[in-house]
Amino acid sequence: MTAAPLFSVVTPVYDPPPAVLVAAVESVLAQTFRDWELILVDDASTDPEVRRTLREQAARDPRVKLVERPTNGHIVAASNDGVAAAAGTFVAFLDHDDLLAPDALAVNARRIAEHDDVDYLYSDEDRIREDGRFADPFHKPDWSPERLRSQNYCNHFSVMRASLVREVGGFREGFEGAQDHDLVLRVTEQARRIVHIPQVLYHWRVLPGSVAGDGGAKPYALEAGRRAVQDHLARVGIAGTVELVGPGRYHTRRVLPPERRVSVVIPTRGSTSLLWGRRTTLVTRAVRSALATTRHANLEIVVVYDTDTPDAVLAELHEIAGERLVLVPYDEPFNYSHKVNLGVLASTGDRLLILNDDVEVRSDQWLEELIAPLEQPDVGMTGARLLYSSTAVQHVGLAFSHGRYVHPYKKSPADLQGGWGKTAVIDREVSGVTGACVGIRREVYFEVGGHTEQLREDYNDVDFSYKVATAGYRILFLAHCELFHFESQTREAIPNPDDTRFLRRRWGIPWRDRYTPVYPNLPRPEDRDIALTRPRPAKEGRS
Amino acid sequence: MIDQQSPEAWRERVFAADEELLARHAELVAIDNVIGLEAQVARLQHDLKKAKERTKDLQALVRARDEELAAMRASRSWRVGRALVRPLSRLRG
Repeated sequence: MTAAPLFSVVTPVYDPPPAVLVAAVESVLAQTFRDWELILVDDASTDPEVRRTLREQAARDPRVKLVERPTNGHIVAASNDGVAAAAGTFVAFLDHDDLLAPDALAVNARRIAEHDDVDYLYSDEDRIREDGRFADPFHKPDWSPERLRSQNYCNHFSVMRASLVREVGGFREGFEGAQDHDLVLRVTEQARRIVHIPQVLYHWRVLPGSVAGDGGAKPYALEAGRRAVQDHLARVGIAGTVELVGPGRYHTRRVLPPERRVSVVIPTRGSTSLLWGRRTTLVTRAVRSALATTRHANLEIVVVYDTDTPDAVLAELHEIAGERLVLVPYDEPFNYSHKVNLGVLASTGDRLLILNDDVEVRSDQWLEELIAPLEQPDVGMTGARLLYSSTAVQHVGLAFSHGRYVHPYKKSPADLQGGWGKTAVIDREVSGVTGACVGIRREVYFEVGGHTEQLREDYNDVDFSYKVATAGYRILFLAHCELFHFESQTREAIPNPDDTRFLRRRWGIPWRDRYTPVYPNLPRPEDRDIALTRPRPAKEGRS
Repeated sequence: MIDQQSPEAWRERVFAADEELLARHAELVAIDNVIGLEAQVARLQHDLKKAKERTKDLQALVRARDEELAAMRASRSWRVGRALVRPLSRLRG
């Protein structure tokens, strides 16, 4: 009796071009890891050439098995037949027109060997263009549950413990087109350990009408995906509704309980600025827009003001916020962190929303969007999408990478989506959020010691993010909570070197960001079709 | 016109009237300091561990090179060569 293979690669087949089917099978036969079986499930293909090709491929290697369905049952039934026939400890899914990298199974096997409790693994992927070239690598984040609610970023290459797939009931009828998203959600809800392999192990073929080529090619899949995420919310106990916001992109609109008391803490000195040609008092504009765009009634506005703030500004604030206004005077040398800490101490809310005075809220129900995710105990902090007055992107989450603390996509046009991963427009986990707009639970704020008063101006938000993440909380960027941030787009802030040293002394030098991977050694987008092995030209002027 | 308080008056109302708030601010700052120091210690321990590993690797490399040198010096070709060039060493003075 032979031992069960480690991997069962399941490939449902329905009328693919025979040549690409053969290429898919060959990519499995070429695996450097030998302990696998390939299960080809023919979902009653109508093309006799496909049926003949399948039989030929099954005859090539005893590890290739062919399951022939008598009737067409669609992707769910075919995939479940494949899972039922699988003898492996892990099942992996390969579409009939895609390719595995030669070391795909070997790399997965190595990661499985590191931990006994691995239940789910996913890796990076790229696309096969019509001319056969690999392009558009999608470098994925480490495990990011909020992102999985927003898009099926894990697929492909998904490798799942077979027993767990069977335990959750395999693929579900009625979710055709989004059956993989539905399965990944159900498996990850139960998985003991989830592993991301930051390597391209799967090549997704762009064919006319395929999802790889056009996210809107299968409209029925989008609604199935929305229902899959809605079901997931019910299973994990998140109160909210799921909206389809783009091809393969979903937004979870959570419910903020009305009894939650929210304190909006705004440090200010009552300054004015020229906005769209008109001189405007920043803090009053911020408070006015904040109150106009929320329906949440149980809130207070805590304004920490420098004592040289004009009386008229304070009077206007009182007029706007009325009884909800709490004024906290501040007469010490500027220290943003100290000001915010004092404001929080003077506040009474069990949810805190820390806001710069140079913002204006753009989106409706912004406060609910920002604060409601904090109902999940493992979410520590939330941040918003911020735009410059020109509508260019200012902030879509912070990335700590390659020695720097960066705002990805900064100064990009507002309609930029962030490539294949749509990183700029989806709700997701991030390493940090800017201090200009932060939602946080009161107990988390105190647990991490508030803002460090040793950083008076720069990087207090980076340090704060590090503290929240180190305490074990998730930090979320919420793409559907949008504000203007009237920071200068042309004047680049130069951080104080002492602040940089302070940060590095505490937290070390960041290298690879977990949620917004940046690989500077990869070609820039405009160069991505150029072979990586292209020899560099010799430097001139040196002997 | 609103009744704007002076900072002193505000502190009197909010802090002096409630010693607990002052204590909470001090507590906040202390927690931040502790977290910062803990992070620093953890990072330094990590760096120390890596440095020790590197030292161990380098020491092993030095040992291997020493053994190579000793083997080379014990070889016949080295001894013959050395015997051949020994007269020349007198010329160096």
